This record gives sequence, structure tokens and C-alpha cells, in this order.
Amino acid sequence: MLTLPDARTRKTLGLTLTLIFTVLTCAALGSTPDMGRILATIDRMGDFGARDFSAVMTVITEDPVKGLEKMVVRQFRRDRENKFLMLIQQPEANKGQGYLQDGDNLWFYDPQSRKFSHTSLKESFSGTDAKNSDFKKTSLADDYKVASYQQGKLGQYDVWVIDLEATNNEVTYPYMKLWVTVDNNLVLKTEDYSLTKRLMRTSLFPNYAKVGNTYIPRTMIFTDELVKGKKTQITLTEISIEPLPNSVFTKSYVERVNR
Amino acid sequence: MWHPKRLILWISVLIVIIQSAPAFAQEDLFFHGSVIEELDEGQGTALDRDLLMGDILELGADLGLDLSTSLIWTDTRSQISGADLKSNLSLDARPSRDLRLFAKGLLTISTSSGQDEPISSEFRVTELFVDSNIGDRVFFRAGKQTVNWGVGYFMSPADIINIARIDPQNPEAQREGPLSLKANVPAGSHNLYLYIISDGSLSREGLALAPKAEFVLGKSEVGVGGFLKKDCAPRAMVTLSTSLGKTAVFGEGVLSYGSDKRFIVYDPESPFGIAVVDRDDEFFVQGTLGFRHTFRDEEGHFNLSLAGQYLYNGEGYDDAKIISQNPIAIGFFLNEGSLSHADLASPGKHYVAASASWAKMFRSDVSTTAFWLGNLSDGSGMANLSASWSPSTYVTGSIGLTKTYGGSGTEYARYGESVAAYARLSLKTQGFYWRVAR
Repeated sequence: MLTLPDARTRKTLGLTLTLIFTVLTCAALGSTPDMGRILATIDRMGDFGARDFSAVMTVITEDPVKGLEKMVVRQFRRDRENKFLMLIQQPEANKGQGYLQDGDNLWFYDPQSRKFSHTSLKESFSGTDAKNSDFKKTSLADDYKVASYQQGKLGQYDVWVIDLEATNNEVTYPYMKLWVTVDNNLVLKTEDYSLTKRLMRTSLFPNYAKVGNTYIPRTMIFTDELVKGKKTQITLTEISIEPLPNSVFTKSYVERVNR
Repeated sequence: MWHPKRLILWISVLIVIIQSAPAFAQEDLFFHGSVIEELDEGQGTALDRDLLMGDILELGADLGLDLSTSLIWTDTRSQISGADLKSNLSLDARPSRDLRLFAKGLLTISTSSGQDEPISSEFRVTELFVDSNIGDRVFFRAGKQTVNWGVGYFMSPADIINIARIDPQNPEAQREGPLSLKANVPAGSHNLYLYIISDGSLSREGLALAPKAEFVLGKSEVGVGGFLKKDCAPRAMVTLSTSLGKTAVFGEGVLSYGSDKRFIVYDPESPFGIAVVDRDDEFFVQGTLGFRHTFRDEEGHFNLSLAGQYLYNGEGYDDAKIISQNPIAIGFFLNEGSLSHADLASPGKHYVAASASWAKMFRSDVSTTAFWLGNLSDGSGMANLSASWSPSTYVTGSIGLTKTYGGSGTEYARYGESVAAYARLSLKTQGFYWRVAR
């Protein structure tokens, strides 16, 4: 006849099984992940360091009112000096408009008035769903702290789903949710939230280019969650990490290339 | 037979499936192939050169037509209607990376019910300059050009270089600049400039020297400059542009020894009781402070822009009534040439300008703007309310109401207070460009 173990034995058995399950789970995951380190790795992987970066961006905006709009932009980045330059090439009506970032300063150049004016990284990039801050190197480890995380799946990829809270007021979004691949720390998706934790924007990064040790999203899809049907897709081509002259990141260059 | 509870359950399941459809669509992107594409490090060429060496020649033109009619009420009522046909013509030649010639002109053909001649035409060269550099370190621009000098939005006391002053009602319009040689040396984040400005002649008397340095300090840019010209008051200026959150803040300060203006003073010995004098051995201070702020709500229904600016004009009059109360004497001084109209410009000591605009109201094609400019010294000013409708990039219709106020002879109500109502229709084409490839 089968007899049940006594209560003390059952408790010991239960604790042992829980321990074994926890150990096996940790083993399966490798170990408890250090989310701060993952954020720092994301920042490092997208940093061109000593190299310069240039590319052509094709920006397609789908607006339920305006329809489809196309914009072509030249992008230049020098991460080691925290600088970027974006020059609009198309459409003709916006040609020559430029965004020059130098550290904490961002200037907008208007070729009509020939004037530079201070603007903010938090502003939309030329009326699209992209923000000016989307084009500089990321600083997630400095700007956010991890509120919570869990493991999940996005398509065929095992991902960490990480909830972030901003640590300063300089960021574009105070709350973010990231979907980061477990095996190589690539951000595949983000959700950006307002101060009231309202979902403002969903961003997808389905394709990365690896140049040297640096990863740059080659396709970005930004969906405006407040205006139904509005989204922006950005595709990078002609990617180069050839050195750029110092003069590219100057007001003088922006003036010279303009008509 | 369907039980109601089962029907509700199936509908709920269907709703969940429909709602989660976009999520599946998003995830589809991450089901196929690798997310990483490895690029050869050596591939691609830096994209900076072809911007400077793209087409060897580009000729451009655009065309715009403005139709307007205004009803003006002063003591009487009058109506003015007109049409302006405008075309910007440009030439951009880039024979080499280090040499560029640019020219731009504006052709205007106007007709107005208020003009003596039924049709008038004008062609004006707005820009004509050559760009070059030494070793990509010192950059030159020589010729007629708009000069970036001063950071004020509605008013810029520091900017005495550009020929045209800022139009406070259209502060972002390009202004006509002088004939000058600009040398620019970027130094890291900072910039050094030297302008040699000509008033048309190349004699020593006709040339002015204006050095300027722009420093980036944290989130701010500080400019320090000077202006020197024979027989003109020497000036030193400092500018600041920065941002507080999403608000752009700007300021200017100018110190001059003497003034280029002539002043009217009370003089009991003069038959008019007033006289014209120079004040060449006094210091004058001018200063301005302002802000610009944009706000856009989450849905894009409220796209608001606010701007405000205060100006202290040390070259203005403490008692601006000296001008408004002596029209006969001032007319005499103007006629005999001892006083010019430039001497009478900006007679107030304190000015304020402000605007509030609501663009694309509730995501429509309609925008509204309110604008106010006031001379606090003589109590005159103007206010404007306008609404515009822009169904496409090429068509804009607008209506507005402008009121000037103040006593007769004051700056903005010289001939008494007035109210004007206007309607305007603007049509324009996109630019047409003809290019010669390298």
C-alpha cells in the first residue's frame, strides 16, 4: 500500500523541487541578466567611436490626410565628438534645410532666410514621426534605469522585454519599452510613452547593417500611435564609414552646400 | 441554434483576433531571414564631396502670384487692390570643390489701384557671391550676401550690417544683405568671423570692419563682435542664444560710442523751439531679450507657437512727443537736409513685440496668427489678426484685420489711427531646375 510522506517530508520535497526548478531556469537563461550592462552594450554597439559615418536616408511618411510623402536626407555622424548633420535633399521645397548637432546644441538651418536657429532634439524631424534624437548615438545606460524586465518572443527571436524609466528631463520620451534580442543585444522594437504613460509611438528595427563592430538600423518603422494610420519608414543606403573632413560638421559647410 | 452566451464568446474571440492582427503583422518582420546584414568596411565613399561637386551648373526659377485687396478706414474709407507676379531666378555654378558662384534675383511685376502707373516692374539682385576656402580651414564668401549677425527674432539692435531690417510681421523672410567679404574660421565647436563691408565704394571711408566670435558653452551659444567704420559710431555687441527646455531664448546687448543718428532737442533759442544736434561723445546702450516656444499636443490638434521680445533702445527719446508735437519744424529740418528719415526711425525707448500662432488647427488646413508690436514710449502700436487656409503647398488664401493705434504723429499712427481689412490669395509653383551634370 502506497503511503503519503508526512507533512515535514512534503515541505522539504517541495522546497527541493522549487530550488531545482530555479537552478534549471537560471541555467537555461545563462544567469540572471544584468540589464544595466545590456543597455551599455546596446549603446556601445551603435557607437561608431573613432570612425565617421555617412548614409543616405529615404524617409517615406504615410499620413491619412496628406497621403504618401518622400524625403531624401544625407546623414553624417561623428560619435566621438557627439555631432551629426542632416541635410534634406528632397523634396525641392525643403532642399537645403539642415540640422546640425554639436553636443547639447542643435541648430536648424533655413535656406529661405539663411538663418540658423536653436532647436530641440525632442522635436519631430521635419514633420515626420522620427525625432531629431533618433539620429544621434544612443545613451540608454546614462539616460534610463530599468524598471522591470521579462523574457519573451518577437517573431523567431528570444528577446528581453525591458521597461525603462528616464533618469533626466533631457530625453525625448520619459518611459520606454525595449525588445532586445537575448543572443546579441539588438533592439528590434521599442514603445515610447509620455509622462502619463500613454503610448505615443511604436518603432520597429527589422534590419541592421553591421559595419566593423558597429550596428546601425538599416530600416526603421515609426508608427504614430495617436494618429491612426500615420507612420514613417526610414531606409538607409550608401552607408559609409570613410573619414569625413572636420569642415562637414560646421555651419560653413551647411551654407556652402546650399543653393 | 446559437446560444446568446456562446455568440458573445465568439464575437469576443473575433475582436481579440482582429485587435491583435497588427501585432502579428509586426512580428512577421522578425520571422524571415537574418536581421543583420554585414557590410564590407571598405565599401561606400564618404558622401560629403558630391554635395559640393554635384552638378557643375544649376539654373532655377519659381513663380508666384499674389492677389490682394484691402479696405482701410481712417477718417475716410479707401480701397486698394493689387496683384504681384514674382519670380525668383537663381544660378549655382560649382566648377570645382573649392569654388562656387551663386546668384539670385527677384523679378516683380506689380499692378495696384493705388499706383500712378498701372503696371510696374523691377528686377533686384538679392544675392551674388563667390565661395572659396584655404585648405578647408578658412572659408570665404565674397559678394552681395545676407549676413548672419544678431539673434533677435522681431528686432535685432545688434544687426546694423544687413541693408534690410527685420520685418516684425514676417521675421523669417530673407533680408537683403550688403556687399561684403566674409572670412570664417571654424575652431572646434566655435566660429570666428571677419566681415569687410562696403557701402558701394572701395575707399577707406566706404569700408567697415566687423569681427565676430561665436562660442558654444554648454547648451548656449554666445557671440561677441564689433563694428568699426570711419565717421561712424564704433559698436561692440554680445549675443546669446540658448534653450530652456523646449523654449528657445535669445538676447542681444550693444554698446556704442556716439550715434549715427541726429537727435531733436528742445532749444528755446531756436525759432521752432527745437533743434537738431549730434551726440557723438556719449555712450549708448541697446538690449533685447526674447523667447520662442512651440507646443504640440499629443494628437496634433494644437500646434501652437508663441514668441515675445522686449527691446530697450538707448538711442530712442525719453519724451517721444518731441516728434509728434512738432510736425512743422521736423518737416522743415527734413527739407533742408539737417535731418533724415533714418534719424526718425525707432524713436521710442521701449518696444515690445509678440505673436501667437495656431498652425493647422485641429489638423485642418486652417491656421491663425495674432501679432502685436508696440512702442511703449509714445503709446502707439499695431495689432494684427489673420487666418489662412492652405489646401496644398501651392495655394494659400488669407484674410486679416490690422489696427494701428496711438495719437496723431506717433510712430505707428502718424496720420491717426486706422483699421484695415484685407484678403489675399497666393499661388505659387514649385521650383524648376535645369542642371548640367559634371
